[in-house]
Amino acid sequence: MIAPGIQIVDVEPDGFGVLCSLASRYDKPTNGELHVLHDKGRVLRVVHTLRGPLPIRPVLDDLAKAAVSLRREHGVDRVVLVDRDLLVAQSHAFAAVGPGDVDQPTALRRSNELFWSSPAVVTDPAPPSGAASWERLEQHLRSLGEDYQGLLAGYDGDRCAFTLLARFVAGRIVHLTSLADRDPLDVATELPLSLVASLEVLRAIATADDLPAALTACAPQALISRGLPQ
Amino acid sequence: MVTVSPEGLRLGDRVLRLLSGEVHPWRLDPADWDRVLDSVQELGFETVSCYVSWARHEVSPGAFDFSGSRDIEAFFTKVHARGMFAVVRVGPNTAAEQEDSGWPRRVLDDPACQARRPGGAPYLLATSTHQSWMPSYASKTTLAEIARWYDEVCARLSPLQWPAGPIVACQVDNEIGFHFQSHAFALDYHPDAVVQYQQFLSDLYDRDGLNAAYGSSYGAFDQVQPPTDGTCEPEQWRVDWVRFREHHLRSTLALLSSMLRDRGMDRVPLVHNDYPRTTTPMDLGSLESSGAVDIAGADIYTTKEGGRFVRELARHLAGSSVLPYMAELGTGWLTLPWLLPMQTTPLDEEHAALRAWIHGVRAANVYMLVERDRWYGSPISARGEIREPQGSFYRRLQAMLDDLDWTSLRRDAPVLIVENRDVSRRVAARAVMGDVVPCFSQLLPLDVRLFEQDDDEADAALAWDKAMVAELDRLGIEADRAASTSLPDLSRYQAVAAFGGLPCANVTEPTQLAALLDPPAFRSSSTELDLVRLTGGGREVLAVANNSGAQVDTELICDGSVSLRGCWQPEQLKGDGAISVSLGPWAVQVWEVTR
Repeated sequence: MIAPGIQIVDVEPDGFGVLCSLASRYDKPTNGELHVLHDKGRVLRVVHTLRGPLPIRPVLDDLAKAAVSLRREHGVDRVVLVDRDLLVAQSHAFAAVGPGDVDQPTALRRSNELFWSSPAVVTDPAPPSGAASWERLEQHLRSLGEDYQGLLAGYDGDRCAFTLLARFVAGRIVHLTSLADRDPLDVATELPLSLVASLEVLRAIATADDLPAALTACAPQALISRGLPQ
Repeated sequence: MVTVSPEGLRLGDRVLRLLSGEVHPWRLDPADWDRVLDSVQELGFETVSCYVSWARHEVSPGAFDFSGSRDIEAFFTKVHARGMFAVVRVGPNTAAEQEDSGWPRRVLDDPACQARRPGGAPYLLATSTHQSWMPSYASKTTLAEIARWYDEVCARLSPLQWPAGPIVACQVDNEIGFHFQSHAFALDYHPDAVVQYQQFLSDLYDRDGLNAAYGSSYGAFDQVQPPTDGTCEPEQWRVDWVRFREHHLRSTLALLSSMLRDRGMDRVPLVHNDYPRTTTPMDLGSLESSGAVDIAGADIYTTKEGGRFVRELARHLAGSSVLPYMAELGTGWLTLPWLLPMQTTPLDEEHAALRAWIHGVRAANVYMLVERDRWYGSPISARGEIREPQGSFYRRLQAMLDDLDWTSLRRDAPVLIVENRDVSRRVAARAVMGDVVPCFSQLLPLDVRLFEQDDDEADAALAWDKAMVAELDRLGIEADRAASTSLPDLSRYQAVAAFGGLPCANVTEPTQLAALLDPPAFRSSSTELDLVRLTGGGREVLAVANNSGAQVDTELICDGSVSLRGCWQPEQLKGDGAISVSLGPWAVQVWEVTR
């Protein structure tokens, strides 16, 4: 989605700070995750993402069953069992996810997808699977036109907290800036792509495991939404 | 010839306070350069700092363009004509949210240049809007490429050194420390790095000594391969690798420095900056004491909640450097929220910047003073408009530093906290899975602590440090920090504290501190207030930072009758034995004291 050489200029500082705070996952309510490193079933290290390293060495005879049982036992949102040697064996694949002109969000996504599909990883619940929805989103953005603008705006009550005006060329963002001197509610209705919503709605989208799916589903809560994928 | 002094840069008879603002003229319209420089001066800055980006100038392999917005000579000529000064940052790495961190893509795509993981995979770094394979500084191919870049850039910049031109310092590379990778077994396993490692061992040991230390039977040093994981035995093998990584950074910077000096950049101090990391593989004090660079600084970007982190970093610089230098003191932040989202406000920046100054920093580069592509929240826009309240903050800061002749002041810091580098190296040598540890956590949905082993020694060292800092806070005592490998003059401290019992230390437990120290001149019962007393030039100054988001109303206890003149926030206070003070949330205040 991000074009090589993208220009990000003249972003209004207070508003962009609000956008950054929305994008941060640190505030997202969570029960934490349990990450377990093992060597063919022999546990080497257990880390609770909220509580830190734990001095426990659970038995991992059956990895899938162990993941389910550990999740229940520790009340966490997810358990991830990682076989050390199998993961290390994929180091060349991880190094190849994003050189060249692959944009950074895509590379981050590919790296995560590679991880979740790795034979080194057993997890409960099932891995997040956003790949297909991202492809649909990218296809949708290309379908809206060769060269167009889109607007994202967040409202804190009646006050516009931030705006971000993006220019898309061939489905990729080539320019980002803040909207200057115009009412975002007016501009949003003129553009082929726009989402104007409360900060609460946007925070839920930004921290969703499957962002494209969350975008698709947000229309009923948005003040204005145009051109979002259905 | 420009030299370094504890107060700043010495230019003949004048000492220049090194407080610069970062400007990237190559990202601005040259038609705006004068307006931008007008605003820089209006905010009180005499010095600009500028990256000179290799990738921007090498427009095709071996072909360089120094025209238009890339015309650095024209820009620095304008700077000089205004009586201003410049710090140039010539790379090779010039980061700054550029694709490929300012390296030409052809260099990074050359397998002979690429830094390697233990299993031979190249190292992928998320750089700005995409990602790149990062280079090995041991690679002879990389170094030959750097030499060609230095040929080009130094030919243009060396004539512009002071006094003929505005350049008063030159930065060697940027945040060289293994491309944001502190993990001891992540990098660098390039074949040329392995040769350097073997040479390093042969300087440490003779063959029999090595075999005795490792329980091995090597016939020659070129048979010794680096350890690849924290589970490799014996421990000494791993610790020597960790030591090699420190040596590699030091020797690489020394080499790059000599390359610059050989090309004429020999009339100004050479500086380096690391991201805020003070332990292995970085050793800021040794970078200076070895002569690798003249000033080893650090970069900091944080919110107000990170104020005490800034404090500890500033304390480290104060204990390690002749001129404690925040080489990047953040104002605004990068516009890559999918990678590093941070909401920064004027209050965040005021708290962090004042923290740096009151806890020992005496030189800084405000980054980015002038906004550009992929950055937000700077005090000056890309077209030269001053943004408030950030602009006013820097006017006031400059005025206060002038008013109090700040660089002549010295903190009361009677304690030195020593990082036991032997312990740090052992801890670092226990890291695991360097083949896949990511440069940024977003690349793998795994808690980064999974790349460590359970480590009682690391836990004990961390707990010791926390307890020592808590005791200093309780006593109201300021401290410096340094690594055991690069100690400052110990005679200036009443107490030297180290974990694990080092010969330099007279304190091993926090409870020993109180008996060794004179009581501070000012005390507060609030644990949220950090008090620092500074003296010099016949002045006494008291600085205080509120480390909380709540108003603090308290009394400062002192001996006798004193008056306090507010130098940051205007106010006049008086008291005899005690003075009532009020500090707003996260507020910092500086008073001149009259007794």
